[in-house]
Amino acid sequence: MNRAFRNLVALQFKEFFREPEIIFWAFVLPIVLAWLLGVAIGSSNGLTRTVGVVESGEAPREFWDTWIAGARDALDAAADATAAGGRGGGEEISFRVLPRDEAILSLKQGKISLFVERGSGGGSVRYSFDPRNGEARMTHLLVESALGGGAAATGNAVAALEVQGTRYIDYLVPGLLAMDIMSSVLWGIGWVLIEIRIKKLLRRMAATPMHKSMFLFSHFTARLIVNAIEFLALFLFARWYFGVKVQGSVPALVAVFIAGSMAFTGIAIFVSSRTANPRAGNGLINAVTFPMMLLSGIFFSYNHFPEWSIRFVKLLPLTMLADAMRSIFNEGAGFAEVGVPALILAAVGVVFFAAGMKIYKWY
Amino acid sequence: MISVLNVRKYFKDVRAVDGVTLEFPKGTYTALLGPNGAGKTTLVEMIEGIQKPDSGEIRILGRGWARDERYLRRVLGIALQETNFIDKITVGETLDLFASFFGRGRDAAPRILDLIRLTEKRRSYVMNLSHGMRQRLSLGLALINDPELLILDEPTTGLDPNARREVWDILRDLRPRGTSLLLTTHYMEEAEALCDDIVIMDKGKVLARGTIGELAARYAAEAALVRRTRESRETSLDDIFVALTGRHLDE
Ligand SMILES: Nc1ncnc2c1ncn2[C@@H]1O[C@H](COP(=O)(O)OP(=O)(O)O)[C@@H](O)[C@H]1O
Ligand SMILES: [Mg+2]
Repeated sequence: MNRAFRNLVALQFKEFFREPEIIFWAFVLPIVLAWLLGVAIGSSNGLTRTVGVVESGEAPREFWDTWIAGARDALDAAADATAAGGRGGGEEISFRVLPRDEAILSLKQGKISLFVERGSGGGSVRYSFDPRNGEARMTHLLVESALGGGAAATGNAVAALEVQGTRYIDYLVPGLLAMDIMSSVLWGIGWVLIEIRIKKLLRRMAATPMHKSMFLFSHFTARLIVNAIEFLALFLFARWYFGVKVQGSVPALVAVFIAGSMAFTGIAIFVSSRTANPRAGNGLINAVTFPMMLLSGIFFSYNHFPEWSIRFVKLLPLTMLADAMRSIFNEGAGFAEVGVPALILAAVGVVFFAAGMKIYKWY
Repeated sequence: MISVLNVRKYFKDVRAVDGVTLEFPKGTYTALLGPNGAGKTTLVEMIEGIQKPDSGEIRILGRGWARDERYLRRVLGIALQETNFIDKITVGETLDLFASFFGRGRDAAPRILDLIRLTEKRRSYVMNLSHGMRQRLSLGLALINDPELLILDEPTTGLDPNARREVWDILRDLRPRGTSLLLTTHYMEEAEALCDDIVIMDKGKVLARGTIGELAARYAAEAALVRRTRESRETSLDDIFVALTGRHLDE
């Protein structure tokens, strides 16, 4: 390989590893974040594993007291039987008695994920929840299987697989990994390039026979390696501490990782193409990363969003990357399922790269 | 070596370079002398292919930027008015990086370190260098490809007299190699100390050109008028500048 290319890649590394704060932000912060969120939300009854219980004329409080007591016993028995999983499992479910209109409001606000009403026949009940909300479906499943099947019947392998991959930490970790790729690339390539322009070093480098696309490609290469290290650090922590597992295809995961890095590299190069102003550069990168962090379902599923917006949210590169990684981690997906999003992400990278190169301000 | 033909560059209402025509012969050391805002950087960056002229033509070694950019990048050695290097990259690494851009081997950086007298600092981070050392590093990067033609934009601005003299010594050492030099400065001592060919520039235009002797002879009468208020008997570049513009160089 070309000596200039090797030198440029080495330069990124030296710059990276000679800066202790960068190590902190890149490695320690995501792990701390995963740990905090995983422990805080994963092991308490948290935000979504609350069942609303609707009080009414034909279903007074006494009726529900008996029902809840029964459900609790069944759930405890079920939990004991499947206690093999990692720490921070968080299958605890709490119940809240409330009138129907308040139950609907609480559902909208995410305070409960489903509610039960007394059904038509005898002691039967009726569940109400959004079928696209995975948390709600999971809660429903847990309550139902505990009440209906009993501990002995659900203690088999199929039930265990259902539990693995539906904990909050299982949802969170692939999203955090995706988000890390995004912010690492946008700051580590986009911001670094803007900084080099601000220093007037970019124009000095461009005023040599250096090939400009090779220069940009060296940044991509260096970042890919740094990203891989960051990815492994967070993944290994999550695996060791929370028992998070990759259930799907590892080669597909690698492909998605590279495709996602390509997408964000293209975007980073586009974003860095013109500005030589630190505040504008900072603002631009935040303007790209921040909405995606909020909208792409990294911390909480975007399925709670209004229907019209979900179609838009699914087009965001971070959503595509996080969803693809999550399906590999939790749903056992492989190339068949994530091939299309991976190709789209790679294409996004190529298109933005080409557009950025066209308008790039070297001098 | 360089020919500049009727070159213009305006920024909105500022006439940075306003119809300049100049020839720079091979092997000479030329100073582009003028106060801040005279248009030196704009002119020199157009010659370096970093800025594009609004009109006019620039040719270097018979070639133009539009067609022969790669060739010209290879043969030119340049130092911009301002370049900041990466803080935590060493002097040696910075030089070797640029050497590799020119397809030079690992032996290039040590040779240049010796030339710019920074061998002892080769393992220091750029952030720990003095201003004078940084300017010498800039000069070193300009020299990394053994250029025939060296273009330096204010290589000693802001340096103390000692640091300035060190840069001058390095540049003088290059003369026997046949290197051509074009440097901009607003220090007349620098122009006098280094260059046999002086171009005086102000407000985007070339006001006068020649050796010190030629300029002194040509503007002796005007300069004498200016000088009357002072004690000196020699005609200085500053006197000539005042005679031409009514202002001092450093105003
Ligand atoms: N990019 C620019 N935009 C607007 N004005 C500029 C720009 N570059 C230079 N100028 C103006 O052009 C004039 C000449 O500037 P410059 O070439 O830097 O002069 P010098 O190098 O002799 O100090 C100055 O008035 C400066 O303000
Ligand atoms: Mg200048």
